[in-house]
Amino acid sequence: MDFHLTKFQQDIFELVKDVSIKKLNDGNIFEDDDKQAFSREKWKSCAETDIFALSLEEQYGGMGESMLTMALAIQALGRYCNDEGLIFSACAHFCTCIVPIWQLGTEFLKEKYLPKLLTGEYIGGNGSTEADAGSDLSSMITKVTKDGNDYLLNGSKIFVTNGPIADVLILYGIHQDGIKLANISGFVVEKGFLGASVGQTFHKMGLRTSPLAEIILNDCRIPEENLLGRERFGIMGFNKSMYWERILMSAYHLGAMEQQFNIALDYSKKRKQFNTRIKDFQSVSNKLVEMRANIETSKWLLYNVCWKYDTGKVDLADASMVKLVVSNAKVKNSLDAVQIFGAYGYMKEYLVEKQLRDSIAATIYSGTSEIQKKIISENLENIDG
Amino acid sequence: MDRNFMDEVIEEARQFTEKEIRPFAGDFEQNEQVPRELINKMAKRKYLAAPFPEEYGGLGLDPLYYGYLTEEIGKGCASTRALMTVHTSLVGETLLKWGTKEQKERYLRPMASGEKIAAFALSEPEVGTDAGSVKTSYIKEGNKYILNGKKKWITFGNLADIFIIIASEGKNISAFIAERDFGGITTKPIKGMMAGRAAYIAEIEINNLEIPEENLLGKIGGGFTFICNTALDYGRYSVAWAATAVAGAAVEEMVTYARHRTQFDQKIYKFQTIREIIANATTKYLTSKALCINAGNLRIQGSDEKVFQTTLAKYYSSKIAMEVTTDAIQVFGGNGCTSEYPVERLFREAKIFEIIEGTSQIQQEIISRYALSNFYRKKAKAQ
Ligand SMILES: Cc1cc2nc3c(=O)[nH]c(=O)nc-3n(C[C@H](O)[C@H](O)[C@H](O)COP(=O)(O)OP(=O)(O)OC[C@H]3O[C@@H](n4cnc5c(N)ncnc54)[C@H](O)[C@@H]3O)c2cc1C
Ligand SMILES: Cc1cc2nc3c(=O)[nH]c(=O)nc-3n(C[C@H](O)[C@H](O)[C@H](O)COP(=O)(O)OP(=O)(O)OC[C@H]3O[C@@H](n4cnc5c(N)ncnc54)[C@H](O)[C@@H]3O)c2cc1C
Repeated sequence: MDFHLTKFQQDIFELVKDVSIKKLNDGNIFEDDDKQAFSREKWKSCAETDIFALSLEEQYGGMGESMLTMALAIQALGRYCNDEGLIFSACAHFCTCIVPIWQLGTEFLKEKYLPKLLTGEYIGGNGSTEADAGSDLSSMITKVTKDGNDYLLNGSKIFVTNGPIADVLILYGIHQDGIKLANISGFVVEKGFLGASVGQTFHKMGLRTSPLAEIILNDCRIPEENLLGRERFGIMGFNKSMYWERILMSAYHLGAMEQQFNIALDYSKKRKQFNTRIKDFQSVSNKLVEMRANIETSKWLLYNVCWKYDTGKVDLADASMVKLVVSNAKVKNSLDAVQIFGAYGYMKEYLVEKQLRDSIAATIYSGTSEIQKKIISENLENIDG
Repeated sequence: MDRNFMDEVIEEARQFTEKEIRPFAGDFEQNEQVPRELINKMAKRKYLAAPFPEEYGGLGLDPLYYGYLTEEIGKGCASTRALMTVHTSLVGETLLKWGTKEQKERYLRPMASGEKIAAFALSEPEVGTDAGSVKTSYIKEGNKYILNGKKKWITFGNLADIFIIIASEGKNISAFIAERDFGGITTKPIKGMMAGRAAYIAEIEINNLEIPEENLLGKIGGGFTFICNTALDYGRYSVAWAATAVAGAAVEEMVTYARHRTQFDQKIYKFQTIREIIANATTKYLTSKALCINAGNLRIQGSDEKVFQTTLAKYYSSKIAMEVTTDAIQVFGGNGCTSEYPVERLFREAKIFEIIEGTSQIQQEIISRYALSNFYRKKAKAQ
């Protein structure tokens, strides 16, 4: 394994850092968090770094870079941008919408949607989860039927990240005949398609600046050419995007943990009790040490899995492993950071209160920790590659 | 005290909480206040004076049953329970122990009836764990004390009529009973708390507050060693039960959800992974409750161990409340991250217990000191 970063990788890290500091931390993040407010301005600035285009081939308007490059860029975002909701929305946009179209779409779909998605002019997302189908996607009940040359979708999807603001969503539905898992199809659905509407929105504990909603499908009409991949093989597309989602969300968490660590270290040096910097109490410094150990473990596991992906050695279990370890580390570190701040960590004066709320869903979305364990346990032989 | 009577009180409190508190805890939080009518209803049932003797309008519950009561209310809503922690325990019980006859007469009955609400003001912007270095000052002038300074994080401070205020005069730290009506006290709500948003948490400006000399609580110079230590011991006992309550509520919620929720054609409680979470959470909750019951019994007996065992219970219960509520969200999956279900609130409520009434780091200090002297084998040679 080569630990050397290319000039391009260093440059993109610096660029994202710069834009984060200068443009993405504008405004009052605590107010935006309160109001669950998403900022178009910030979204544009984020997209202008070309972050969404890094890993795609040049023919689709991309830069032909690796998973590792993409991970480094997202890590920079996590480290320097204080709006985790925005980062989460960006990750969802890329991993759950761009990736499936890129990996499985026809040339027609790629040409039609990728350019606008890569520049951020379009916002994307996906809807797979339903009220009664979360971990078990095969039990979804959103119905697919054929009507002439069109498909019709009927049902509803919940917890759709970017749902209220999306221009394009990948939506999954199930055919009424045949066996369960080999019966799900994915579709590229535009905001303007008849029969798709935004339903209930949610009061989330964290990631509040990332809009989340239910999408209601009432005879939603989709032209045949917007089928994603092969009919009834939608789960394949879903699994493809899961590699990217589990790895890149971990990159965001790694960056966020670094940011949080610096804030906590700084506070522990400034806050005095008993005429002593609290950092000099071992009870406090031990927490800092454990936080750092979690960061280092996450970092090198992540880079290793990126390297495996880029060299074609990756298994689904690798992506699950990094997701399991890093999301767990993030929740732990966030709890420790609040503890180091005492009462000040319990309120919106420093970022650590928000970071804790933002972190807690990490062990749930993109497959819960239990599901990652299930995947790893079924692939224990494959991971030693 | 008659056990049957106390059992009835607890059973009634359970029903009261299920009916009047638990379904509305989310609303209280949204409106940023425990409603006054609810406080009045609790006062009417004498919950605000549960451990006070009957002569002061109380229920006369022994410490153990007062703990059970705290658990019941605490399962419903942490902000509502916090009223009992500060008003009843930190201020009420401390007044009972150290107040003069006149002070008790003047304050306990209106506190019992809910006519007056009380808060405990120790922490300051710069002073938390190191409570011995409070900067709020007092000087004596004639037959009055004049106080100046700032207090922070004062639970129910924005509603309170009565405050115990800890202040310093250079070498002496003393405690005073202040009334809002004395003038010189301005309170401002603290917004943006992760939880406890309905608990009227406030910052207090103290500006030439004049306190008549008969409102000194305890002796000059006894503000830290006697008053604070007593108050924090009562506070820790209350918080130990409060944290246990939050863990208990989280177990109830996760079990109920696991029995309803189906994935992969099975109720999710059938998955061993979920069983593991439920088993661990239940063990932690019941261990924590056992430590609280033990502390309660030792308090009834007046044992020398009671303060230490209370600390132990507080340390353990706050630690596991955090773990169990985190696990409860995990069992709820995506639903656990939204305010439609109570577990995300329970999680936010749990974090506070590791910070208030002495942070966990300070409890570790105390517990390890105890071990170093009590578990030391004097005769054994170091290897
Ligand atoms: C912030 C956020 C954003 C999201 N964004 C999106 C999005 O953009 N698009 C989308 O489609 N979805 C999204 N989701 C939904 C997310 O993917 C689901 O929440 C997740 O898949 C878990 O499903 P569930 O919540 O229904 O939990 P459930 O599947 O009901 O799980 C409940 C509990 O049972 C456990 N469990 C389930 N099955 C098993 C098993 N076989 N063995 C052991 N344990 C098991 C789980 O681990 C969990 O602890 C989002 C969720 C959140 C919180
Ligand atoms: C919701 C809420 C309600 C509250 N209600 C009240 C109230 O009603 N009345 C009141 O007076 N106060 C109240 N407080 C304040 C509370 O008592 C303090 O937050 C607590 O004492 C900790 O002080 P601090 O927050 O200043 O943390 P600090 O003392 O600044 O501690 C910061 C970190 O350093 C660690 N640390 C400090 N000293 C040591 C040491 N010697 N060894 C090892 N580690 C150490 C701590 O454990 C912590 O992790 C409340 C706080 C909250 C959050």
